[in-house]
Amino acid sequence: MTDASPAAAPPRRRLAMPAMRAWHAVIAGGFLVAWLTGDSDALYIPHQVAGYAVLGAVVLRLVAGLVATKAPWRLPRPSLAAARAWLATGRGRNPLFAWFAVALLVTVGVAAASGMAAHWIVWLEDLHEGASTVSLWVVLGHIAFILFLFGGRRVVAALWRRIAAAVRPSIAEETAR
Amino acid sequence: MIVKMVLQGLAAAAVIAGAGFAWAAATGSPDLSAAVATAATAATATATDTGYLPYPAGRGGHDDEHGEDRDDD
Repeated sequence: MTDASPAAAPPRRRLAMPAMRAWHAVIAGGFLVAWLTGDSDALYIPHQVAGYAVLGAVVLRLVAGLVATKAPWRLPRPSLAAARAWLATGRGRNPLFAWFAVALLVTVGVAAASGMAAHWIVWLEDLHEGASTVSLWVVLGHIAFILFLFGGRRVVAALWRRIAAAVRPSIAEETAR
Repeated sequence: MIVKMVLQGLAAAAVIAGAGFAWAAATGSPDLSAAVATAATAATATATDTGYLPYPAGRGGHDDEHGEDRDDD
């Protein structure tokens, strides 16, 4: 019998998930600091440090994704076929995970790289601001998606039941069944 | 798990911000009060700059061509 517990896995596999969590903390924390310090000249150096942390995390993720063959470090591969299959059956992993992962890597990566380049090439500042704004919306979408999947669904369902009960009691009974 | 990840992200943010401020202090970059003073000086200069030509290549000269400073016109 094969023991599938993390303790029995090879050391490299055991470290994969904690390393991914640490990577997520660095990129999320770096993005937060970079966003909060973005509008002040007096905070330019903390902004730069945060931006380089984010850029380093994106580069590390891309390099690791090229080498890794298994989750969680393998690069996400979103596909329309998988999304269609999930919509039809409702089974398996939600395809939005992969789409959000790619959108986050692209937008946050472009924001960080253009920010670094804008230090020398001033006209890239507009691209940096635009990419940063887009990446903020993608990050907020990612957070909303995660909150919805892990608990938010119940809140939305309960809210819907209340609205339905207020509008028409028969709908509420139907939904509660 | 979500709470744990949020706390880890905030901890990383604190470390990165700390590193940024430490670097700024070590390199002697302008601090917040200096930035405010610079902005105030720039605002004052703009407000009192009317009537003077820009001087990209030297000392400024008064542009009195239109006689805006003369009371006798």
